[in-house]
Amino acid sequence: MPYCTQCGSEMAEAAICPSCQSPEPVPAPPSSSRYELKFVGSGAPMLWIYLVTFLLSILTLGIYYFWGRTRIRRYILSMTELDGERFAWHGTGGELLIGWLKALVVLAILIGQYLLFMLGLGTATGEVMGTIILYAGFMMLMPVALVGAWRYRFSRTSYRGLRFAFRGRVMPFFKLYVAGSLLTIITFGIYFPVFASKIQRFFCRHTFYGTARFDYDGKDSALVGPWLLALLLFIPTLGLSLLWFTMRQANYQWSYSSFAGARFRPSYTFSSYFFLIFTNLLLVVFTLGIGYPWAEVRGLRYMCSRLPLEGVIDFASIQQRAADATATGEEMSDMFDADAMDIGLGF
Amino acid sequence: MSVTRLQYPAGFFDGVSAQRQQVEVTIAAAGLLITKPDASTVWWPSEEIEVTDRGQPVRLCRKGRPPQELIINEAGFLEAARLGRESGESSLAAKIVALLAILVALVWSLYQFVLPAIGERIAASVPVELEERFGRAVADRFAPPDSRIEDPRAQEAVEEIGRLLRAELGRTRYQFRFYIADDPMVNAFAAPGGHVVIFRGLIKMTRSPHELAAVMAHEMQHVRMRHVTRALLRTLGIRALMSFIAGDTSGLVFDVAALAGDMHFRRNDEEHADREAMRLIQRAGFDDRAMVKIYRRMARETADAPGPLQYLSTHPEMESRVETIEKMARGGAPRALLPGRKWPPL
Repeated sequence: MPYCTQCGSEMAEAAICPSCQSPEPVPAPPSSSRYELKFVGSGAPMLWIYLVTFLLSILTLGIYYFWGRTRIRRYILSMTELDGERFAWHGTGGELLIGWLKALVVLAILIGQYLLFMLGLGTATGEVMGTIILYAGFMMLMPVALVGAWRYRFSRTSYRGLRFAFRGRVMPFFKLYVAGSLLTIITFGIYFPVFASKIQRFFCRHTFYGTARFDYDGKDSALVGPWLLALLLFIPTLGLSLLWFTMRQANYQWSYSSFAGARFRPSYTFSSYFFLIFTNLLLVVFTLGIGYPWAEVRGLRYMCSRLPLEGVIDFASIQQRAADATATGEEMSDMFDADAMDIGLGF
Repeated sequence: MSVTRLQYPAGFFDGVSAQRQQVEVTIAAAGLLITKPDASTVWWPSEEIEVTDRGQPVRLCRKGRPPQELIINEAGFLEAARLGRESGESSLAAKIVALLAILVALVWSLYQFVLPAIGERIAASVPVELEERFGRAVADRFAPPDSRIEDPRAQEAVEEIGRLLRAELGRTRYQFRFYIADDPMVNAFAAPGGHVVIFRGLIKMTRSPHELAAVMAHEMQHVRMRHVTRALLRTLGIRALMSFIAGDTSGLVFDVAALAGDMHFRRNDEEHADREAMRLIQRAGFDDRAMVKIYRRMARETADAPGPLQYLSTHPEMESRVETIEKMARGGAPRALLPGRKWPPL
């Protein structure tokens, strides 16, 4: 029995079968598409949440603040969409409060030792000793707090009904962070872009969406040149070169980052970002702060609209991982799993 | 009467796959029944349903893990399912204005009444040793030890006046210490716990020991009545309030001694200290007219002088303060104070 030379199905004579001749049945490689990230919220509802939060915070001696924070996050994420589908926030005010209490204990210890040194050793030496321990303590706590915050935030965020998850461990990041900080200090800051690139890699490679993952394949040393230039021009440009570098870095890091196989295509520019910051400043100053939510909305719109993805995301094949679905419960959260980053503890 | 529609097409995420499914939602008494194209169903009990977005489209989420999501693109669903109303933004502006007004009133009353009251309470329970220690830090900060004048003649004069005033001050928990700062400013300040700093400029400006005694009496009364500690706690409270408004608690990790720099007495405190100082001067048998004179001169001086002369700095208030003590002055014959000394001692 002869077969089709292309697909191997049975035929009357050896040839290419009709189905293989026509172009339709050959599954075309999925064409690359563009996924837009968009923020669709507006200022007034945000201002309302801020005001309610403020009022209730005063009346509850600050306790409500955490629930208000949660409302803002829920609003922001529910108004952010990727490819037409919204994100969702599942965190609670109670979780933020617990995270804050944990951070407070650590902070109390750090400040307490500072005061003890100051009162115990007399002002001059005591202040020096206490200050050194205080800053060293903050430097050591920073990576722990960062990982805790990432873990918390991603595990409470969902998209298309699936949770995100950050699976980075504290110890490797702690080593990366302390080594990077020290090298940055020793090299008078030159090492900084390498350090930032390493953080971005750690961050992306440990962030999951169901079975899909973020990735980063940028070169660590790529931005050393621009960084030196920015430092050199810091004084003549009155510091604006740093803003330029920030945008350069955001563009570089995101264009080498990917999500579920699709690449980010950032288009941040210095001039547009400068314009945004400048007009936002005017907006906040001339409204005596009332315009802040609108400034925030403009910032979010800018950040999202200039960060589309390109490639193929096969949503049908992305599945929830059982571990992520259950790791959101309070009983699973370990002691580092707390958000101390966003609640202003001097970090 | 319209018939409530009970079936709506919807998008559905099952929490297992990221694939969106087209489903039919049926509103039932105790929840929502979701029917998939293959006729299989998912039941959402009412108590697990959370409305995550009341806009268009409406979004619902089923609490729990993994989260399931429903997206309904048709108006009227929320009301039909008795989940509240879809959001309209028409009344939001009015609500915001009302809330703003409430907030301004609330913050103002906190600032005006609540914080001072709390400060008062705390001030009353601060131990003297702490005040004393803290006062030393403040004095060291604003008049560093190496910038002090160690002139025995001037120091002796100041100590002597301080001793005589202290004797008439009555019961107080504080030990007074007087420092002379080498600074041309016409100024003096009282740090908590009895540390009184007098600037060179002030001493040079006095024409008699009685005039210096008047200013010292004023500062000592501030200390005795714990105005400094109270003002500090008030400033602290305001800082806390500010950083709370700004949502940034890092403002509370501060240098307390530096805080004393932007601390202000209230007008009440100043007037109170003036009256008590006048009484003290009179009890001690000093020249109460001298107090009026030095106040007048300082008011004139600070009116012309540039820069931050905190002491007696606000003018309309200063006028009324001078008037008040002028009324109190009896102008009797004063006792001799530091007789036979050259004045000013600097």
